[in-house]
Amino acid sequence: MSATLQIDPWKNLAEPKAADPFASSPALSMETRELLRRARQLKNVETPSNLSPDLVNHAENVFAALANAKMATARVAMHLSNEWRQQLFRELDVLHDVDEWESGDKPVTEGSYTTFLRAILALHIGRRPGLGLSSDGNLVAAWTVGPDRLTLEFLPQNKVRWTVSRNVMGETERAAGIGSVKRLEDVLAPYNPAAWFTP
Amino acid sequence: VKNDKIPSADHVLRYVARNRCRTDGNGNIIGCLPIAFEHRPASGNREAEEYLSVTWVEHFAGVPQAQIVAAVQAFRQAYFQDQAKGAGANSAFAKANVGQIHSVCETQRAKIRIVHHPSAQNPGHAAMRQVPRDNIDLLAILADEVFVDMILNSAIP
Repeated sequence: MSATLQIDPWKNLAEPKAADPFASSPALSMETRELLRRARQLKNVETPSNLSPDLVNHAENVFAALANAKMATARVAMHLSNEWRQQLFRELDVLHDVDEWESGDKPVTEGSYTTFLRAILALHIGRRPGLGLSSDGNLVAAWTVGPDRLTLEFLPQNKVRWTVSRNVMGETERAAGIGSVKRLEDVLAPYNPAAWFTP
Repeated sequence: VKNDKIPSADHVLRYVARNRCRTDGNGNIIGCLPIAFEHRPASGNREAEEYLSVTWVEHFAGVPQAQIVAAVQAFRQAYFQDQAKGAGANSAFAKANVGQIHSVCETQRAKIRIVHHPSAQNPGHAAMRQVPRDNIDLLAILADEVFVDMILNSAIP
């Protein structure tokens, strides 16, 4: 007990505003009074309920979005290595970090995440992409090999917005489009996607 | 002066939140994504963006490195004023030459304006106006070929 008191992690918290009726009660020991003081101070800790409305909404929405994403991933877990899955979850957490959040942005949507999983499985992607997130909650996956870049933005309902940049004999070729996951393999074929997808 | 054009030889910094940075498979920042140049839509209390915000580097005095530091600090002062200390610690700034921005936009038949738009907290604030919202080619070129000089927020005091 004494060691805990010396550390006192609560000392920087605001003191209770109301007078403590038990503070000087002779019926209570010093230790009990200290416990009561700490219990009262706990009420002043910043909890989701007294954060700004924006952050509360964000925290709640993010919790739901990440839970949905992780459950959706669990349904196809047999197709993803443990390392792939763990890194994916870590990246999703980073993308939704409150300290990095821009007011008004949406967490990843279920529709976008489902499209992402379908694409990852359909294209047999072995190399992990870098991930991003649009204001609308669309997940973005990016592969970069030297000057060659592939960026896929996963839209709801199995749609993908893609941009490609490849260096061919010293010149940069670019292409972009929107299509379905089913067509993605065909539209990317001229750009040798194995260079991005194969570890 | 407000609405003055930024000279072509000068540079601007675009703030890129961590979730709009291009990263490798291990989470290391290596550039920015095309979505870093999308106008953000209206959402909740936020109004739809009318222009892309940047900070004019040469507005600030000193040698180039000092100008970058001053521009980043001015941006932080304006942008993070209502947010917790440490906000944006994993984000970055992408630097680009104004003349190159105009040049690539013209190749995409886009006539944009980059003008000084100072605010009380960020006297170097500037606006990139009339950047097309539906040209994903252009957004990718801006990300891949123009705003390629990345400066980590954490690297600036």
